[in-house]
Amino acid sequence: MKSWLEMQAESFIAQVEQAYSKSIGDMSSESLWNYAEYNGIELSSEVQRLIVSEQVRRHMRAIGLQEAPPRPSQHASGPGATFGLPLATQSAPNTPPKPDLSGLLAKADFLPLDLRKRVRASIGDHSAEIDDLYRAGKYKAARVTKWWAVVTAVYICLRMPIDAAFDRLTKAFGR
Amino acid sequence: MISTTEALILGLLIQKARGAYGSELVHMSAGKLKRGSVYSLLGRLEKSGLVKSEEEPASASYALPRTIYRITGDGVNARAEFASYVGLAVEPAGGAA
Repeated sequence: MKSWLEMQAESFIAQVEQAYSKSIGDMSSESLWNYAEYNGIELSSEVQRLIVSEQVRRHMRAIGLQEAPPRPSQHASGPGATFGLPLATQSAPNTPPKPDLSGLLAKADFLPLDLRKRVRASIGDHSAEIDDLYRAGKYKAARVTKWWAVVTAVYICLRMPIDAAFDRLTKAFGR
Repeated sequence: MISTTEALILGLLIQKARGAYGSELVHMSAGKLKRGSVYSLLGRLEKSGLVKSEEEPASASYALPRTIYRITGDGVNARAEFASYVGLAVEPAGGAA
């Protein structure tokens, strides 16, 4: 059920769009208020806020940004309610951020040279794999690969003393 | 004398004349090499002078630098020595690239 304020905003938008023969998403807020003033239409600040919300939402839709699914609180009437649709400022493209290993790579710089080379090689390969998975749209697999990169880096560090002992033994028996 | 796993890595690197990344070697080994151990083994081989590594700069495709490994002349000899010791053919299955 729409509130009285929402109906007022909708009615004004329909009137303006008819007068200018274009969507309010393609118009500036200034021209909306000029139209209201010129035609002697009085708009409360709450109605103005609803109009601007709807204007921004339509503009975002026009430039191809996705809308977030409506949340229950936004269906309520009264202050803060729009026309039952989410506010445009809450819309965002549905792409998660790419997992980044540059922080891990920076930490590897504090390791001794031998270890650093091994860890850097591992991070580089994992990062390339993340890039490929992300490009293919496999976001979850990319996130999992990030954690594998961390686990592998820790494993390489833990294995280093074992390798050193193994080398010493090999040299001792090799003589 | 190198270990069987090290010989496997050297064999794979002989196949890949242009060099290979650690993850590439894991895929090529069909489960014989593990992601966790391959870098340690490559590090040890590099320390012995049997392989050499080169860090490739970050590119437009990949955000971070990758390390490519190539076999050295000593590596080829070590692999041949291992093969003659255990009685295997010098060239790994599939032949050299």
